[in-house]
Amino acid sequence: MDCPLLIDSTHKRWLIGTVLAGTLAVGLYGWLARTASREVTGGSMVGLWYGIGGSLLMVFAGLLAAHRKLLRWPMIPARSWWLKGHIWLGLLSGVLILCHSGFRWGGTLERLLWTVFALTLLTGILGLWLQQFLPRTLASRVPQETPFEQIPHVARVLVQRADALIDSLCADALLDEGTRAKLRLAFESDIRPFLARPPGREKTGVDLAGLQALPAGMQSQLAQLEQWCQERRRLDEQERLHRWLHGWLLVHVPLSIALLVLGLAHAVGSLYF
Amino acid sequence: MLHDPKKLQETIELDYVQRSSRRRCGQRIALWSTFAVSLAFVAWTWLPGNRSVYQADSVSVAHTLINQDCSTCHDRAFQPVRRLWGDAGHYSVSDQTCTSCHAGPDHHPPHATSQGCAECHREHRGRQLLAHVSNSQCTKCHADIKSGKADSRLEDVSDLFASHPEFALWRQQRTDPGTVRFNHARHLQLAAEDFRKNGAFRSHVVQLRKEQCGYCHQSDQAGRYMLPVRYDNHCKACHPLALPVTGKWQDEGLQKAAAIFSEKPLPHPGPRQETSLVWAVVRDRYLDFVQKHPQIVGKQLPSEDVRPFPGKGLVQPLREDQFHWVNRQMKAAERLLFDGADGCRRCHQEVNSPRIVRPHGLPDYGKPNIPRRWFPTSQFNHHSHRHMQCLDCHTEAAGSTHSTDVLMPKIANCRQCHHPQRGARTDCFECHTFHARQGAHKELPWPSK
Repeated sequence: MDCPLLIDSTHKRWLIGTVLAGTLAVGLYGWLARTASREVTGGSMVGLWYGIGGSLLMVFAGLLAAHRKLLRWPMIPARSWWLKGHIWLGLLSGVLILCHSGFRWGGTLERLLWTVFALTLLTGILGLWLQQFLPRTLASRVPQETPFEQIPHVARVLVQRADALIDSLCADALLDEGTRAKLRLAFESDIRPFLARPPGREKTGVDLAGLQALPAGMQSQLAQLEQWCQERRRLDEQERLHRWLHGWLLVHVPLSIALLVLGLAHAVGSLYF
Repeated sequence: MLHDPKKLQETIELDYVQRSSRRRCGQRIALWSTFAVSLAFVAWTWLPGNRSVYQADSVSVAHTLINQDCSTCHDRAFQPVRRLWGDAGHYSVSDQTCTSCHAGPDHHPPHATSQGCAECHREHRGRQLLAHVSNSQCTKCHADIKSGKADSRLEDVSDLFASHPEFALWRQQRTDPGTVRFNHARHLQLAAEDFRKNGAFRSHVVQLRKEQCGYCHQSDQAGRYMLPVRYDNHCKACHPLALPVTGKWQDEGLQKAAAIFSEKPLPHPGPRQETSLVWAVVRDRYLDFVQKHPQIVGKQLPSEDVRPFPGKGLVQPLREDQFHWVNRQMKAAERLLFDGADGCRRCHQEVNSPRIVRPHGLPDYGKPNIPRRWFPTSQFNHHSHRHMQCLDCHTEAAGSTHSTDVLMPKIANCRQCHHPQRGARTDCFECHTFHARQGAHKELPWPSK
């Protein structure tokens, strides 16, 4: 089953709207800057309105995180719609803020804001790219996905089941002492450490050759153990892909918060002075 | 089967959605840490000494001392908010704050003053002069000056230097009002015989050839404008004012004394001194000479037995024949000085004509009228142009033979470098300052028609 792309044909109208709005904003700014009797800066009427517009778009984009809580309110659109707005209006805010600044870097706080804003946009674009392609990779590599939060628990369950299986095998009276010792040694030295290691750690091989000496009647148990090891590998792969899929949020979200706080300080400071 | 839906509760903790997520936990820590750091940074910026963080750029050079004390200038809070509904005159710096330190001259009413000082003098634009306003501030009126001031003598000028009119000096075809005769060409292209003379004269001629214009034209300490040319500093070495003792004597001592007399230069009257000064000095020198060398008038009579006062030198009373000798010498001296080609007439011309009309018997040469500033409503810095030769701008100087020649550059000279495509700046402020001296327009160096 194909996993749907994040940016698909439903974004076409948003894309066209954003490009048009961005072009219009820059064109209007150019015309106003050319015809204005005074220099158009961030503190001029034109600059202030562009700044307000850009800030509102940024706040709108930031409210995606609070969408679940906002759903209680009436007329709140679906999350998918808000996500589209988050992506495209967030990009458009960059254009408006560029016009607000008059294409200048400004002072210390403004330079810091520019840096944070640029990093926020870049991490957002990186996240968009990852979210566009990684879900397909995940779906192809991990057919039966485990909830991300439950990966450590499932890993522990696998260990418990393997322990129980080996205990039951070793308790079998038909098994001679030498085979039992060999089985225990192979499980404790190779298989169990592989199953019990923290999820997502680097992939290590597991040697099941020590279990080849088991009697033919126990080969089904051996296949079960091998399946669990395979499942554990898939959990590792899922953990690794999930880290890429959501790890960028660890940078993007805090940067957005910093952007909002510093932007507010910039707005208050600029309007005060 | 690990993902068997029927046995899912054996593998998955079904209530995991109600427990804190390890991914969200990490995100929350990062989020709140960043929030706390951002707030701490904002709090830090409000501490005294850190407010410059909010500045769009550093303050102007003159305000560096109050860089950290925003309230010194910003006395009206949240005024910029009002710009949202109208873009004029809402600044957090009141005019009173500016004028409490800067008692600037009157500005052109009503345009310049109606919207406050901060409208034109934009602070936080880096380390520049606050008086440096943008071209648009000037061209608001000067692009069509007649519409605002019908009787204005100024030509329209747009915001491009290319549209700057020719300097009024050239537009009105003025001449140099100076009364001192000077031949620039003769001094810049020295003749061969000038180098044949010996002594100090030759060394000065060599120096003049080496330094050219710089021999006479020296800039002030700031390197902006040229200091006035002074006879004592620039002319005296080659053109000394000296007078001989007329007559013939056998006495070697007298001949030697007369030679020394004729080599001693006379003083040149200063800016506020008159010809009578030279006349008085000449007479004093002849009197002194005849008293020291009484034998010059003929037979020397025995001196009377006069005793000087203790501590005082003996001054012999002037005899009648000595008095007449001095008068004869003075007549000759006046002829040489005031009527001779090598006297004052070499450079000066008398105000009264014919020359026989001389009040108090002495000529009146009037004021030299050499303009100290040719363009009093603009500013210039010779030091900034030191990489150029004087004749690059003052192109007419090398061929000028008359004092009436105007040797100032034309606007085309300036445009050779001050052009948008040629690098040098073309701002109005580059040459003009709004804070012109009071009445500067009335101090034009040439007489009004």
